Amino acid sequence: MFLLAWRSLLNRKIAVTLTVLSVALSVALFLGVEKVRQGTREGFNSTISGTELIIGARSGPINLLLYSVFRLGDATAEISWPTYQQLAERPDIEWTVPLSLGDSHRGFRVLGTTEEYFQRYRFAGGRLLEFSQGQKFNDLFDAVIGAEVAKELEYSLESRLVLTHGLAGFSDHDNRPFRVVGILKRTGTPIDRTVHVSLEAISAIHVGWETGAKNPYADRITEEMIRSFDLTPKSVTAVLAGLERKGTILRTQRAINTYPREALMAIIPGKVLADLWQITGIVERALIGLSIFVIAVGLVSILTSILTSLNERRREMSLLRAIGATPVNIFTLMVAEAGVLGFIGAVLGSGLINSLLLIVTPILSERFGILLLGIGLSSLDVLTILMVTITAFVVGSGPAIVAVRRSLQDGLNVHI
Amino acid sequence: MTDKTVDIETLEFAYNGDSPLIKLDSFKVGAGETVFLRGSSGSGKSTLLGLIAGVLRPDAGSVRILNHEFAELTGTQRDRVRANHIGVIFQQFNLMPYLGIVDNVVLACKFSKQRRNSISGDPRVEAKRLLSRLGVDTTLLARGRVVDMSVGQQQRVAVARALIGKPDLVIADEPTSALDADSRDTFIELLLEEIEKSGAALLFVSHDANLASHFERSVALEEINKTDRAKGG
Repeated sequence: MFLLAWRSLLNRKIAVTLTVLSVALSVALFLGVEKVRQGTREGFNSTISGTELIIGARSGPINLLLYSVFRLGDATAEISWPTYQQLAERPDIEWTVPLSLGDSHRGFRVLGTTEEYFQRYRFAGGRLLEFSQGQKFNDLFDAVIGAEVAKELEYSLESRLVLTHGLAGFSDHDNRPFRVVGILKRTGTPIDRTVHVSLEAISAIHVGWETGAKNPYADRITEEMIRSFDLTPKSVTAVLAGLERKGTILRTQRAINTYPREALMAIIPGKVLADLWQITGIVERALIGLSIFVIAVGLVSILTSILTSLNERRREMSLLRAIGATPVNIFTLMVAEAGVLGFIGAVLGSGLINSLLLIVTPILSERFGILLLGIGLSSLDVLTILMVTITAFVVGSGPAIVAVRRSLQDGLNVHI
Repeated sequence: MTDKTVDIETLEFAYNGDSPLIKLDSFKVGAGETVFLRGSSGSGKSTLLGLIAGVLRPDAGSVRILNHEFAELTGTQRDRVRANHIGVIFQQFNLMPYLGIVDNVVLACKFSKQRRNSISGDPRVEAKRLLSRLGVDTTLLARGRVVDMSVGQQQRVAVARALIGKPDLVIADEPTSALDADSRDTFIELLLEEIEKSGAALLFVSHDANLASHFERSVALEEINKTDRAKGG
């Protein structure tokens, strides 16, 4: 019966193609929404681990998380260096890694930090950063680049790079070129798209930029002169912190949030991410609901396609009955047609969205810094294909019952 | 065991509580017999065929095909009797447009294990043999589409489908009405020749009384159908 259904469908190529297309597009939309949602979450969730607290100047918790970890948005204020030192010396804090953000290099964010960053920063459930080539920065003008930076800009060890003042600035720190000394292995996190330099290097490139713009005498300050300066930073953008004992996390957080000398804020990354998903969850649910409705529309198109063909197929059904087809055979034929349409549409839709995401994922990462993880064929595709096919079978049972009833009424006598 | 392929007694049938369309005291077709059933349009010919084929269920009386009393069978059992023992040829639109020529012929075997098993070997080979004997252009068999065939050629394919697997009864419902006079006579001769070879009984229905001479026996439906509607034409 499936073979007969298949041949019957092939006989109505245009109508069937349009129906399959509408199912495919609706499935692609649903899978697209769900995959982008899951991929974004997975990408965000795997970006940081092992860091108990992130500390920044008081603003919004989500904003602090986004700019410090995901390189999205900007800090509104900074933490002074003395305050950072006091935080680092707290007995309940085991380690700290200061982060200084604000400059860029050809569209990639620059992160000023300490060597400890490479020992402390963990991602994807506890993995440490690893070098594919080279090592940590040793010299003032050494840079360590992420895998994506190296790939896109075709940098290798010893490549020279010049940082740009600000994120979309037109003023380069061209008098202080850096040398690539290390390339990190791919992490699937924003680190891949980050240029890492030392905190002192951030201070060094801003010598002569104290007013926010390059002063006329900046170029007269030589590299040797800079090396002799005290390059201790005046402030940092954020601090990653690990605690002596995890049980003190809320107490430490409260203590930092009520720090008397400076308006600070400490956030627990996992909790803020959960808050973020709660906010985006409303939109996500609306989108999923909408895409399920679109799938329903696609399935209705199967119903319409079969129902409209019923009248012109009365002779066919009558013929089948005359040859010996039972009402069950007629029912199976019609339902099989619906199921085949649903299955092909769903498989096409899955193929379509997975191909599209393969193309779009690097663009999302490049343009917006959003990493989608877990993209590709998954159990979600299999489940969706299965559900759409089963629903198509159910939807097809309506016209199938009509066809059976008509075939019983018509007997051998149909005149169209 | 009976020597009657079709054995109808005191049959009555009406559509949806309407006045009876069929009211027969008796109608029989013997094994291997060729019977011409003539009747004007609306006289209930196709309805009677539906009752004999077991697609319609009588309101009263008995329809017996070989040893199968339809009144005692469920719908599915009647469908099985039809699939196993009856071949049907319509006046036109006999074939599935989306199936190939040979596929149309072997389709009858898809619904009947008995007919499939009665063929020694591949049903497709048997289909081609039948088609060739019926004079269907063999060059069309490989890739030819049924919709590209002439009506006469299509009717021959329908005959092959009705005969494959050696059914006991072939019902032909106005199979020559779409053919011209020459093609009609050739078709009937060919059909009768193949029916004789297969040993099946033939119930040939038409409004054209001129065809009666080709058959062993001729019956006018108006004469055996006792309803007023039949008499009124």
